[in-house]
Amino acid sequence: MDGRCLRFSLVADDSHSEDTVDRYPIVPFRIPMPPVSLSSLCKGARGTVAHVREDPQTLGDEAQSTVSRRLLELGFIPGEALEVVAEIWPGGDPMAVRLGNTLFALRRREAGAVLVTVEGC
Amino acid sequence: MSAASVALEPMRLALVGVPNCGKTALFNRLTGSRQKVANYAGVTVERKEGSFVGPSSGQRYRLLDLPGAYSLTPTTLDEAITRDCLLGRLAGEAPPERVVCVVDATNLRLNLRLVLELRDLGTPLLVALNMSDLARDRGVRLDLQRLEQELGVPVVETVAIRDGGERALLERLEALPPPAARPAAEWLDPTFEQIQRTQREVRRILHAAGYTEPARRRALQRLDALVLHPVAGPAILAALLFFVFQAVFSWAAVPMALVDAGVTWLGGALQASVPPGALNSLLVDGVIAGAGSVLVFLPQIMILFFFILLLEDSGYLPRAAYLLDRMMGSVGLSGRAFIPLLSSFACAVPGIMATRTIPNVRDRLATIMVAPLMTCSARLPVYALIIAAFIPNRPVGAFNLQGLVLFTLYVAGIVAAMLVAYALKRTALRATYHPLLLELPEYKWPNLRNLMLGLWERLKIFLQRVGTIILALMIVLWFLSSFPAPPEGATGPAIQHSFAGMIGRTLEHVFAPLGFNWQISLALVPGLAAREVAVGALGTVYSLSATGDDVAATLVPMIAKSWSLATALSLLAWYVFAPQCLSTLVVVKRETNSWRYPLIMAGYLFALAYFAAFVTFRVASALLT
Repeated sequence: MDGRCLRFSLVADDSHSEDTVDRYPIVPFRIPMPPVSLSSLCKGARGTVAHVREDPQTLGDEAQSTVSRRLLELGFIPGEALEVVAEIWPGGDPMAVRLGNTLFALRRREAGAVLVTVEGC
Repeated sequence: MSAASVALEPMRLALVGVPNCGKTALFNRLTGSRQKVANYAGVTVERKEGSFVGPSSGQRYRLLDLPGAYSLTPTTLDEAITRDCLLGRLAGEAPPERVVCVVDATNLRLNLRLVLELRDLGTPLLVALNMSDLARDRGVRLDLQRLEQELGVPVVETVAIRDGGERALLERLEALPPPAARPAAEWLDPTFEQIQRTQREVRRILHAAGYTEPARRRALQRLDALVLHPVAGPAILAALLFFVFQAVFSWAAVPMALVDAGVTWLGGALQASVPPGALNSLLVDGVIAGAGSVLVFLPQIMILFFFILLLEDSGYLPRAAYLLDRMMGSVGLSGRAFIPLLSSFACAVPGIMATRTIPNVRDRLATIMVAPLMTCSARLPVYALIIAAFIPNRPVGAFNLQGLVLFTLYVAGIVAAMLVAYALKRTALRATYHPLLLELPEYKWPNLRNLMLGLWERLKIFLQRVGTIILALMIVLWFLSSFPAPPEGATGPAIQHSFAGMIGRTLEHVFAPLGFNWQISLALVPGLAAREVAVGALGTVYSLSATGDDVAATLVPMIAKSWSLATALSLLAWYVFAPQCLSTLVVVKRETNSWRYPLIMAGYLFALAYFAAFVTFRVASALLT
């Protein structure tokens, strides 16, 4: 692991600059990290599904609620292992995500409904 | 139920499964139907039914191949059809008496939830554990009896792609008691909580049955790293498409020469053996020159279909949709539109039917409207003819100039489709955002048998067209071109005095600004029924208007001699947009359920074709003189 996800989640938490983050020591134990949205992860990030948001209000519209339903049906349920394996350049949208043994292509907007507990490095 | 009535009444079976589970292959295996197997989610959009007889009981079964569905809560038209059929909600469609749910043994996590939903419907269910050989090879462990126990429904192993792989399914089907008559099933979309509960139940069952997920194949993961790579991926896609179009031209050269030689020999033999007169002319100028000139393009069409089937079978197509989603999104289309549009390169009819997998109705309409701009295989004969006559066959770097021109024409079609889609999505078909959520199935070695069956199907369709529509139009055209006979003492070719000559001359006024002569103008008319007929029509018209020794000459040198380059380019530009073939318009009518869209389509294509040909002719004339 190149520590990309660790760096990412720390930035999200403390809004440190990249420079400060690089000086964080590699800690030998798992840091409890709040789940982050799948849409904010980049290639190589691994984790487990924490939750799929289902409230149409926070997601924008009814269509997005259908997406959440389909995500659950496809197996995006809490505890499933997940890895971002590819993204389109530039912009990283859409992205390819491996869930268990199945590969899915989805856009960042759909990915926004999935909250992921990023794997500690 | 007595044995006699069992044998008389066929039992209605429905085949259900998530996309990519090998359902279509199993359907072929059971019914012997010649239907193609694909890897893209939702190719099975047509209603496919087959029948077979139980080997021991003699019971007849009618098997309905329902479109692939992840769930009974539909997000596409396909899934809605599957649900409604299972629930008996489809008009004119009796609900199945028994459901066979096909699951992919290598991916039960994704497949088993649908089984649980189907079980709750109450229709007697049988689970076919497909690809069980592949699963075993890849180290999947599963306690079949325990799985059956936990699910509470019969489970059998099948191998759809192997001879006899359906035997266990048939035996089990025969051993089951006849299903009791039951009221139509009720169905309420589950809540989010219920879906999660079902998913937990799936995992519990799989755990209880000792299911181990197959090891991921390293080589395939590395392949995906390359194929899905942001830079290498699109480069590979472009290279693949380019290679296909080069192959269509270079590989086909020899078989085309053979077909051509055969047609010419047949023409010569008929010319010599049939006494001169109307019959001789009908056979040589009408049938052989007309239908034969279309038949020559069979090798090219077969090669194109071979590659499309290969890409479909291997699992590459959804990946291409992923790679192109961004580009398609920029003109307002979904990445999902890629599959219908790619099919449209073969023929717009299956392409338009494949748009049923696009969930959003406006996205779907926009895709339907631009599908005919993709260069279908029927346009290939026209392009090939003109390219062969006007573009020198010489190498340009590693490529061939003729191949490059053909590639440019394909690109022109794509660019035009993108522009039209952009315009449509900005105006009439403005839509709200629609999601992309696509399974990228594991790569598979294309199955040679299925590939050959698919090609055979295409070959049959093409030969049928040549033998029926095209032949009939050629004969009609021959009559129009031969009668009335020229008056006594008339000079010049006889066809100038015929009905066809009159029609051509009238149309020439319309098409003269495009540089089309009356022969081309006339050929465009039957070309509306089926595009490739235009080539046959030119064959007939030129064959009849030629005099003396020219009759023996083939079409290519004939048009090379009589058209200017500007005219040839103008005709190519015309055919990039080429107003619809009738079968496309009919299928658009059927898919949209109104005459509005086919009429708009025909209108806009005609306008674009006219405009493009006009501009091409004027610019080319100005530059070349």
